[in-house]
Amino acid sequence: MKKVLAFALTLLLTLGAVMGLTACNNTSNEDGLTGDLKAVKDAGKIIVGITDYAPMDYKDSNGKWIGFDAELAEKFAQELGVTCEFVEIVDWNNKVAEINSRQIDLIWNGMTADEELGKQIDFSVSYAKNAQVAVVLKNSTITTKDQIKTATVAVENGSAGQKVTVAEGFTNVSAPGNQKQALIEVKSGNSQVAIIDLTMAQSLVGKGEFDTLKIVEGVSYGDEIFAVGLRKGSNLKEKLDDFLYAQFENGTITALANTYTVGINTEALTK
Amino acid sequence: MEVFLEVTSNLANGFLVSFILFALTLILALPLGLLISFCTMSKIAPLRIFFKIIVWILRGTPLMLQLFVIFYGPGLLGLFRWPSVNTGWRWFDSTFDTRFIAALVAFAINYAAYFSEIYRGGIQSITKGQFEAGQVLGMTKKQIFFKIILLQVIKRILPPMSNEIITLIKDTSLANTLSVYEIIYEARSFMNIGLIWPFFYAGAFYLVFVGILTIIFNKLEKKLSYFRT
Repeated sequence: MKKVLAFALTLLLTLGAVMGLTACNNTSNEDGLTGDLKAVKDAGKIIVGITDYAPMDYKDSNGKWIGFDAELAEKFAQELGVTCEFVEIVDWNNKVAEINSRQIDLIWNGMTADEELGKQIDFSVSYAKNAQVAVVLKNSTITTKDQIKTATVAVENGSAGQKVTVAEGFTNVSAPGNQKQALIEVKSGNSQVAIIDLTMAQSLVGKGEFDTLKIVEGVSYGDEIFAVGLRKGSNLKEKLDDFLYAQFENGTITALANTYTVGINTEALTK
Repeated sequence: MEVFLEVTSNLANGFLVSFILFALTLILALPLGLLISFCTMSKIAPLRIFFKIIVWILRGTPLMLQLFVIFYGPGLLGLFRWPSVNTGWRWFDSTFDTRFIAALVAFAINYAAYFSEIYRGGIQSITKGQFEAGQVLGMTKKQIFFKIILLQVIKRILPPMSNEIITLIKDTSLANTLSVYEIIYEARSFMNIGLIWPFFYAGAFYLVFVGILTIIFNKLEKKLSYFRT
């Protein structure tokens, strides 16, 4: 009986391996589409990786994803004639693995386009601008960069804020999974300072659940640009860039920027 | 009150996903573990050694790491993408997406390794005399296993099994690192709007479920206590 079992198991494993290897690879077709564009059309949906990051992507009271980026992504999906599916990336550090393993098609989450990330993924044309700012409790005595350097700092794991802490040589850094958790660390007193995006800080800090927090005035780190992330060599880039130029030209992006208080990258979007 | 109802319904949905992951993992891992245990007890040396190494790797590395490797690995190496189901039924499709399937595979393989060792312990604890007695009576190996050994093994492995099974329901929370929308994911999304108590509430779901499991296992043990081994 053991031999039979052993044989059956070997068979099973081989079968599994063969099935795994005869996997999908989209190259040929009839309608002239190739690569990512074809894969997305075939699937009938485009999967967009996001995190809970107001005002770019966040949930309304019905649990629907809204925000500057979410609305643009929906529009882009519409233009492609597919549905838009949002996937919340629980740990932002996994974004490159998510996109390169084809679990998601785009990263559209107020992502800072920098050189290091550019080695691993492609970027669309930049559509917004940003900087990193420090957020502290309202009664905090921290006002300068020097004080921040020695304070306990919370940043999103894998974010531009984390890069600031590395570049500036901060020592007491904790890195929770997303920027809101970094704010919660400060609110709950576990960290003294959170380094987060200006865009997010402006929309959240000083009101609602974060009314006990404030942005440290006169302190900001690095100017950054936001772009949509794509797989290296993806042929969605051309479509996406054209889409962004067009949406800027017809005023949609400006209108959205006003609704969600986002600083758009006018120079990059003007052809 | 409205918030409480919203939290309740979201957590209940999340726990349903946790429970399905739990149940499917058991359905796959229980028989797979038995197969592996036979292989690790095999007389064929290469087979035995191969599976001993597999069990060593599965028990010797964190489940979190296995989840990441199984989910991202195939795509990053350009081998394949985890399949997703497309029935058109929204709840079904979004529950059993690629993430869920990868998590299920990881859990099933990992738990099969643990179960296989429990099975092995149970089977090897049966005295050799019983195998020999069966052979003297002219029974085949199959008959000996199913008619004499199996029930005694089940009785003996029930306590360690219940231990592993209780651990499994809590381990399903690791799947949220792959964005499987289970109960901890749901509780965490409430933390993003500043609520901390949904975590305790989520804990209560686990407690109640483990309570039910404990009662079931106690009943089973009583039921099997009519014979002594």
